[in-house]
Amino acid sequence: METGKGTLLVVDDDAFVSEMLADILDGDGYKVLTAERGMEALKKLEDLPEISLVISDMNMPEMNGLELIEAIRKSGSDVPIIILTGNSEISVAIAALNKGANDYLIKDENINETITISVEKVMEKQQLKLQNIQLMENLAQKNRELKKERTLASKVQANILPIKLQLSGFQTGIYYRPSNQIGGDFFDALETKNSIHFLIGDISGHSTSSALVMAVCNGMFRSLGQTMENPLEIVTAANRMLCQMLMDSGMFLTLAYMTLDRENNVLSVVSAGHNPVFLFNGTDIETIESTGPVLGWDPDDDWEVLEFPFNPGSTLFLYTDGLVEAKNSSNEEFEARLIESLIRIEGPPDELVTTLLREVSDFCGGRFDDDLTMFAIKRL
Amino acid sequence: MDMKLEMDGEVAVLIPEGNLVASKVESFNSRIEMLVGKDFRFVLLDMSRIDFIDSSGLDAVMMFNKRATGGGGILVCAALKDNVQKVFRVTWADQKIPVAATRSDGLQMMRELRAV
Repeated sequence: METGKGTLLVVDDDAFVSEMLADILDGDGYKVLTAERGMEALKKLEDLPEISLVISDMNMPEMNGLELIEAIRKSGSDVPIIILTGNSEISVAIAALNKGANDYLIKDENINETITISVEKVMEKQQLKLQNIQLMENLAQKNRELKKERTLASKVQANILPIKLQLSGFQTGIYYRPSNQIGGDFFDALETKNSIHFLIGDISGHSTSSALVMAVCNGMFRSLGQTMENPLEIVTAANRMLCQMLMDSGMFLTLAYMTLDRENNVLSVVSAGHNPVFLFNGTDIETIESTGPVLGWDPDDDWEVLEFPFNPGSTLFLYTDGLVEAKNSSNEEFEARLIESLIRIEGPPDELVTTLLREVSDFCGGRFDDDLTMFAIKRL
Repeated sequence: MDMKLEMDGEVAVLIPEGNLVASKVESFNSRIEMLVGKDFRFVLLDMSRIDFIDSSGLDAVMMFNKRATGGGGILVCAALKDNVQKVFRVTWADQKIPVAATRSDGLQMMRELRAV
């Protein structure tokens, strides 16, 4: 005799039917328990959690089949239930299924065949259901782990960036928000012996790999800035390293890199495919367009260096495309309003950034699809 | 992403439609693979139906260009909308890939490049 296919509970007030079903199912390898009444069945279900399926008659004294289904489901059990009856009315079948039965069989001359098929079918469905629940739980667990990892990565990334800068002779305003906890934007300022370096960059994409490249770039530019003064040399060296690192990934970096010669008040700018940089000198706004391609495409690429006066009182405004590509409900981009806002907003850099953030948030309804970074620097 | 293929002599004209953004890059690549396979030589990417391109989309176009030119082929992008043109201009992608104002200009550019 086969064993181990599961424990079944047959509930019927007719001992002849119970014994007949027990014989059939026992021969198929199931362990079969019986109960004559609904209350007895409920007690056995409570005491014996190994019961994996209930086969119940519909018409029984004290508690009928529908009431038994209701009581089982009310107890929180989702054990599969097959209902048997001599009544071929479809309404009874529907009522049983609505109450939570898994299948419905007529007690007729074919019952010895149909019961085996029904039990196997219902057990198989129950097995699949349990597997699905397990898979969903595994997926939810993976998602929780992933969320935890991203939260941790987000904290690490936030610590990499200089959210508060203390630069002697300057006021700064900064806003940084990745679109999806971690992002590819970065910015920095670095004081060296004769100059100050400012930079802002944006790694393509918003994936974990973008965040990883961002972290590498941040360290790389810190290191290059300590040893080189010329922005073109720095950008050229960085491009060669990035081309080697990114290889065929298709990723690239847009970057605006500036050095300020403090003695001569000259700002030297290299913009590698980055959005325009704005420089306010009194009432004039200088729009500094990109001076060459993005980094990471070709190790032999070259850039033009542009020079501008950057005197006390001047303000430099850097940002990533999350600002200008923010869209309103008419699908218009914020870019068209940026210069007007920059001219209108008065106050120190932190107020400039805060006001601009409020305006762009109002414009796009707070819906940002990209990382957003703003970095304003005023020379005192 | 929806993409049509029309042949103009030996030139495969691909016409993608929609926003070429991070979430569409995989289907952009698989549609290219399905339509022109790995052995294509001359492709014109008609971008007249691309409304917006983000950095991931530009990645995909640059990778496509790399595959095309790496195999001795040519990729020409044509009919870029203002938004897309701006991204090409700012990043200097228009200096890396031949770009034409219209599809017919693109086909003419392709003929000239093939003649070189």
